Amino acid sequence: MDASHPTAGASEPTVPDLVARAQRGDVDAFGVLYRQHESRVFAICLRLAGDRQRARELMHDAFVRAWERLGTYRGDAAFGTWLHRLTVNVVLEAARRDQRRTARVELAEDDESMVGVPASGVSDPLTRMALEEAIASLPPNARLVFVLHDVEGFAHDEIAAQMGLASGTVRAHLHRARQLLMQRLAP
Amino acid sequence: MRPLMQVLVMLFCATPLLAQQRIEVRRAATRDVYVRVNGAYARVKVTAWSRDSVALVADLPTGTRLEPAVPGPKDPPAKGMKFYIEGPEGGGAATGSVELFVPAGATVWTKAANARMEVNGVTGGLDLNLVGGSIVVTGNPSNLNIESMDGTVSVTGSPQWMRVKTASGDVTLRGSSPDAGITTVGGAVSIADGTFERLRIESITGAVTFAAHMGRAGNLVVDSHSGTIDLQLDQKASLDLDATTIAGTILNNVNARRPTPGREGRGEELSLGLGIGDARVTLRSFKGNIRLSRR
Amino acid sequence: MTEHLAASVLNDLQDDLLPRDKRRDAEQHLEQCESCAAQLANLRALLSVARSLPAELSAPAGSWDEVRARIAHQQTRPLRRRWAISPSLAAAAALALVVASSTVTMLVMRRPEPMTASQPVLLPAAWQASEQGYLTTVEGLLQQLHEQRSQLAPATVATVEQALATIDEAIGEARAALARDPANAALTDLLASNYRQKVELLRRATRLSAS
Ligand SMILES: [Zn+2]
Repeated sequence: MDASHPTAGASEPTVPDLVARAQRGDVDAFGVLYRQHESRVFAICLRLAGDRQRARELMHDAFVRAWERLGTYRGDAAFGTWLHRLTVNVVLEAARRDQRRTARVELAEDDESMVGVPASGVSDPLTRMALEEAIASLPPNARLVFVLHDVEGFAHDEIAAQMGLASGTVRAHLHRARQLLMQRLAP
Repeated sequence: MRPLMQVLVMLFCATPLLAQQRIEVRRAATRDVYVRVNGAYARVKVTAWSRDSVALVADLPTGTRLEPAVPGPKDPPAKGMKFYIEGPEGGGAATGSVELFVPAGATVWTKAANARMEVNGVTGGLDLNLVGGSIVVTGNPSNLNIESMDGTVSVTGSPQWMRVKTASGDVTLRGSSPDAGITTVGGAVSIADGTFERLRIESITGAVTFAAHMGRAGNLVVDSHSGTIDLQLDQKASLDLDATTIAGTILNNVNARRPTPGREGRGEELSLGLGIGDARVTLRSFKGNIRLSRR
Repeated sequence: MTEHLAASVLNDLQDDLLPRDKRRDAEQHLEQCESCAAQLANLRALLSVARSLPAELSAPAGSWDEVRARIAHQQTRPLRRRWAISPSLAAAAALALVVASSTVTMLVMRRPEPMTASQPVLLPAAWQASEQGYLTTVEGLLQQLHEQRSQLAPATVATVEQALATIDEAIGEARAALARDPANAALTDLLASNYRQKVELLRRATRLSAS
């Protein structure tokens, strides 16, 4: 049987159905939502955290938080949008908790040498793979701001509010991140 | 740090009740030892010395106990030590005083309700927490975190990274820092002498005075609700400045540029560029006044 | 020719954050200066790759089982709902948010109650989500502080409440002004700064009272 065929078997439950069931405590319905969204949520966590192991933990935290907060989801935005925003919040909260340690590490990382970044082709100097690696090597705050602004498309003010930073500081982090990335990706 | 603390053999030696007691604890320590002093004391003085050991001398009144969590005298140099000072039953204001000597590279964490905290010469980390009283830091710690409510804060030196937060306590900083942040509700903030790269100051009602130098690619941001912002630039100041008030006035004594009325005719705005530097200065006040002048 | 464009100017140009006159100056410079034009081209190339990064990356296998286990564990305990905003309040918040001034001040003393819409003020949509985030954080911290209250000296409680009252007054004034002039960026920054102060103060108070 061709499971992917829309008419085969019972009709697929819609996202609102799944959400409604999960809100009533149906863990299996939440499991379906989980599998639909895990790749996207993992991508957000991985880019923001810059570390696979940490990203895995954060993804788990995000889904657990989503389960706890399902009652506050009212269907006015797409479920995916709601979940992605919640994921960003979970990651940023974790970053804030580590901030004192982070701030210290960040100073040291500034001086890190840039060896080991793969040189890229002449025609397309910026490959995605190289960029992913370079993003992961950014200082934490610079990485958070770059990913939120230039990859995920959040506005400056929104990032400032969510990170508890002044928008001038957000801009400074963003400019620094871009500068470091261009240096690291230069052929 | 924590796992190491667990590995250490902890000695909990509750001291007997005496009228006034002097207690001394001395242990070998690594150069980057982490030391915590927490509890009921009225004064702590931390001094960096050149020895590879930590010494604590406490003068404590009747009913106050010192609980050190430190390795035994014959154990290898400690990577972490904790001292907890427990006040007498029924409370009352703490009166004990503590003197602590640490290797310069140590990280020191202190917390007290009402106390005078003084730190000299530590180049490691400092994390000082206080409700009321005063904190005086002299030296160049690699990172400095201070949290206070009423307590005043005075820093003389060049922390690599510093954050100071108070409710009503005044904050005075004489020195330099590549990365500094000061947050106060109602305390007065005064910055002088050195060079700053990233500096952010937030106040609600507290007045802010900046009379230091911004580095070439520096970034200074000051936000206040109703406190006066007083920027005293040095002769070689080289920066782009944007000042905005929602209801306050801007007084420019630096050059001939006059502020323009703000949006909807309320408040004032002023942008000016000085020199060729890349430093950025952003001053925003809701209803406080902004004053720009040359030193 | 004038000196080269600062990196911050190139970035702001790219992000459309330059005032019109500075923008014109920068564009004029770019027409004449290959070096700066190349810098900008580099930046644009970087950003176009950043935008083209895949939205999804394959997650490690077996994750659902762990999440499921954690959820199942939670179900045995009552849901911790007290920090969440109820749907009706959230709906109210979507239109108008609250100046929670004097009521909040007393919350350190009394058990926090849900916010009530005492002085509805219409705020720009972009700000609402941010403000909601702060309010949720503040609510959680107030709850925590209330629970730790016995460990705070009365003088400390008084200090915290005094500072909260000062901040709340500032928030109230800034919000009212923002409602009159919703596009005012400086005002948005100032209001955000006030909220940060509030969150920071409450965090400090909870840390000071924790032993
Ligand atoms: Zn040029």
